[in-house]
Amino acid sequence: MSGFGIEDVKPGAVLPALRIDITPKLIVGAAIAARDYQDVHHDKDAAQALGSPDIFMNILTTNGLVGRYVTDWCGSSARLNKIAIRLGAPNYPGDSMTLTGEVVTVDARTGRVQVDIRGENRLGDHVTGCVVLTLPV
Amino acid sequence: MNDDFPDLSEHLGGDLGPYKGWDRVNAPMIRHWCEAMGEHNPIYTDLQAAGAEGFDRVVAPPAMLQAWCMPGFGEQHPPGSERSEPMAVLPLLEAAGYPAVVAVNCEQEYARYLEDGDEIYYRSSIESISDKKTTALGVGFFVTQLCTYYDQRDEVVGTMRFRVLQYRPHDLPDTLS
Repeated sequence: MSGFGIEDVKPGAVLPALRIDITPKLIVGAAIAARDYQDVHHDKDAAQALGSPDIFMNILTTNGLVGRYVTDWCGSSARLNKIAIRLGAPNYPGDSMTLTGEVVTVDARTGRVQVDIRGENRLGDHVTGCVVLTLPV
Repeated sequence: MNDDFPDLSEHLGGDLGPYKGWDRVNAPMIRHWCEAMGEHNPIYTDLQAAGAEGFDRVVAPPAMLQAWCMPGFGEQHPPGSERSEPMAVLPLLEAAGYPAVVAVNCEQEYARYLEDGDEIYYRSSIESISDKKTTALGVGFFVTQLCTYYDQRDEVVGTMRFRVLQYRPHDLPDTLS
């Protein structure tokens, strides 16, 4: 086993921030890895025709980055039970998103932990939400 | 526009499906996802690491749940899938004068981790449609789709609630509505 057990986590604990550069390669590559071929995630002309300044990150990628962010912190013994996000300002190429997080609840009996997360870019909050996970007790 | 319109209640509920995935859960697609996401959790790519966590095979990142049943480049699900559009209420709203759409929330819950070899499909229902709301973006309706994901034993492996706002932007000229 590697990673945190429930005894390693306390309410109020803050996750290390993670800055992710938003490149066309990330937006397009991750959309395709997620099997998402919607044109607004790879075709700038198509995105602009719909009123967007550029291509933008898809939701599956945001979910993937949020999941990664939390297990980067707590390790591979964690089981993710839930990722619940609210979507805000788009992630456009040339921006960067900084993910931050804080532990809000810890149940030592069940191992259940809730982490609130936020991903900010220069336009504001790209994503806010929470991840629920279970750690070994 | 008629203030009573539209009556959307007939679009609530339903149980459309299956929407199948083209591929079983598999190690190459998991690895491609991990590459793109910068994901280094070893249980997704290393059999030994997965074994140390109690799995018989490598497992997929939970957030991949939706990816397994995406229609892909050809924009259609594989043969044997439901053919009707799971969110048919959205084009109806578009035609009724609410042309813009934005995703608002996505909530995924995982009953178990998917393992290499699992075969996934989902079924879809419309869980809620709000009354007409005035938001910062415009006037419209929040529509929540519930996708329930099943495995080869028809057991639920996870759910996804996907909420969109279908709306008429404030600055849209009345002639277009």
